[in-house]
Amino acid sequence: MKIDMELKPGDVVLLKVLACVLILFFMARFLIFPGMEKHQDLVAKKDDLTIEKQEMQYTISSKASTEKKIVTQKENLKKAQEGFYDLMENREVDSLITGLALKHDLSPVYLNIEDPVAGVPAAYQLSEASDDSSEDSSAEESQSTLPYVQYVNTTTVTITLQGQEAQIWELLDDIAKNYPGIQVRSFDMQSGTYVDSSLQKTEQMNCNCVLAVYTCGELSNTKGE
Amino acid sequence: MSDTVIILQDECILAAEGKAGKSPKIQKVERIPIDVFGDPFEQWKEALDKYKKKHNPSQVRLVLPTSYSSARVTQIPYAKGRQLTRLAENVMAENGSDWVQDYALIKADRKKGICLCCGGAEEDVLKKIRELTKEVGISVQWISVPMECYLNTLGQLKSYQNDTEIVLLFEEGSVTSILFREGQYLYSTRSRIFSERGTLDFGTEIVRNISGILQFYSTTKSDVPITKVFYAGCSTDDFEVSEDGIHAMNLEVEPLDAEFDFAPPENVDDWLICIGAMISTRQKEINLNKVWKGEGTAGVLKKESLAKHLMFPAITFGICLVALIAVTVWNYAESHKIEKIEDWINDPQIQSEYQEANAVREESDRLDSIQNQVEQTKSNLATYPDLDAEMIAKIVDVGGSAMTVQIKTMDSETGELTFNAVSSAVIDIPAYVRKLSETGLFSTVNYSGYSYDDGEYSLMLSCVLKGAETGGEDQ
Repeated sequence: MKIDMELKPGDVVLLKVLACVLILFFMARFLIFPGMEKHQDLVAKKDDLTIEKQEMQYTISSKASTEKKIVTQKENLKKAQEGFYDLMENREVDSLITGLALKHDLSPVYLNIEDPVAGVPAAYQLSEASDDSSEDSSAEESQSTLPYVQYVNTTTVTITLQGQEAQIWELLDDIAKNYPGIQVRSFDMQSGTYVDSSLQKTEQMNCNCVLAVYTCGELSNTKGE
Repeated sequence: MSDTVIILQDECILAAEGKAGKSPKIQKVERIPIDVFGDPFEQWKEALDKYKKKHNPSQVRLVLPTSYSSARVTQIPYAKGRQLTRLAENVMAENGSDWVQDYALIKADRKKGICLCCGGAEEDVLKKIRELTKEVGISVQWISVPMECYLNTLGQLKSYQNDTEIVLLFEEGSVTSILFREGQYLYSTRSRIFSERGTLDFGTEIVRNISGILQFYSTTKSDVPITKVFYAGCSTDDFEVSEDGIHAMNLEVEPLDAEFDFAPPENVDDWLICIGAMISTRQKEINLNKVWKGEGTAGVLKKESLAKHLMFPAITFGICLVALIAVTVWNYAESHKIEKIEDWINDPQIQSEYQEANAVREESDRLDSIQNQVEQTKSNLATYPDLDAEMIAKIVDVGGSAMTVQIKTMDSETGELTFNAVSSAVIDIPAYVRKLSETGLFSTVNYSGYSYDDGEYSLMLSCVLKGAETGGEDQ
């Protein structure tokens, strides 16, 4: 069937406009807009890569200064951990604590050494640090140190000592003043009457004492040793 | 720059130089006679060669001789655009397909319709014409037929526009008779004149010619009678012998009053065909040269028309294409930048350097973290109250010599310190509790009572030690 019809000028204009609109629509919808979206993706990717590149450049360029910084950091760390102990085996802890008791002429009658626990000890509950941010800071600390191993460890030692009250006070005073790596967590003093070797009745104090020994080192590294 | 028209005729070539346009200006004319015996193309070639050497025209408009061309004038209904093109194609189709044809719009009127002049020539003729002009070195821009030129010329003469008349246009040995009815072309014929001009036989031939036209006109049964005969290209003296015969047919006769911008001294009547060739209207004109080159008129019109219609969509498409190319180039540039960055990042040497530097940086960060832990530990431990000799002495001193203090328990986690204060005398207990508080060692002092046994009062006290930072003992 042959269609033979004359188009009016208005129809021609309409067809032209329609053609223009269709061309605009299809070109924009299927070619130009996707191209622009792709461009935005490319710009975002480029920005990410640029940041990555800058970080790499900074890391590479700061290598020498970082190495110097490490030397300083190691020195500072050494100074900072003065007073704390390196990782110790139980026999070493025994030697330290028992030695301390014997130093003050006390008789250790019971000693229990628990496994060291990694983590920064909390601040005293009534201190400002504890009130303000001890929990937060410890939480933050644990968060911030997540990528790295815990370096500070606490070994809890329970010891029962017998001796004169004054000797026990001397021991506690000595620990407080001269052993920053040892903390008296709690104690319980009880007096008792005993018979000595010459069958004489003597008054002595029993002191159940819980001590915390703070050591520095990475536990995972020593587990296998 | 002047325009040149060359009219090829059987006995001569006519050349005119001037300014083409709607009202042409003729500055120079020249008639170069040729030998009527022999190959006319060779004769025209020689004549053109002479003209070329004399005037050296760059481009010319060429009018074919009547004997080697055809013309058909048709009246069609008023139309324009594609419709007109189609009507013109139909008219030309009646002439057969062997001829190279084109058409010209002579006159267009909404009421009276369109006067269409279709002209054509055989392809061989055009080929020969092209060869000879090429050999002579003349560039032919335009090829038309004599009838178009005559109709163009007469179309310029406004005073004859509305009459019903016969116009006789004399050439060397022929006359072209055109019949107009109320200014509209109706009929034309071309006859050879065998008699010498001015003789009785010449007059007879002319009268016979006009009589034939009258006979044709009578068949149209038109109400408008033919009243006048105009002639051009023949002197008044020569034409005089025809006048009696024409008057006898109740017709008036007058020489054509052609008023054109014609500078040469020659008689303008003899150059009407050149003037017609110089007339350039803005309407469609015959150009057999263009059609024959393969750029058919209809095709050109269609192409032009199609190009015109496609212009806006094409521009839109072009703009979109430019935008697309811009976006593509933009993306390409970005991709190129990304590629360069990726190349840099993935470079083995850079990677190696980065791994080393990163390991160093991680070690530094690790040391930072460790130091923070140690510092934090020191800081936290410093907040605990230490039960040292000084603190114990202070607690003991509060009771004075009359009181013995026995510390029982201490828990650093809760800060609770319990002790017994033993006195053999009755003491002011509230004052003692206040004094304990005033030592600044405790945040709270709880007194839970006393017991009396063996002549001694034993107070039960439970205190919570202050932290080091809140006023407790210095660590």
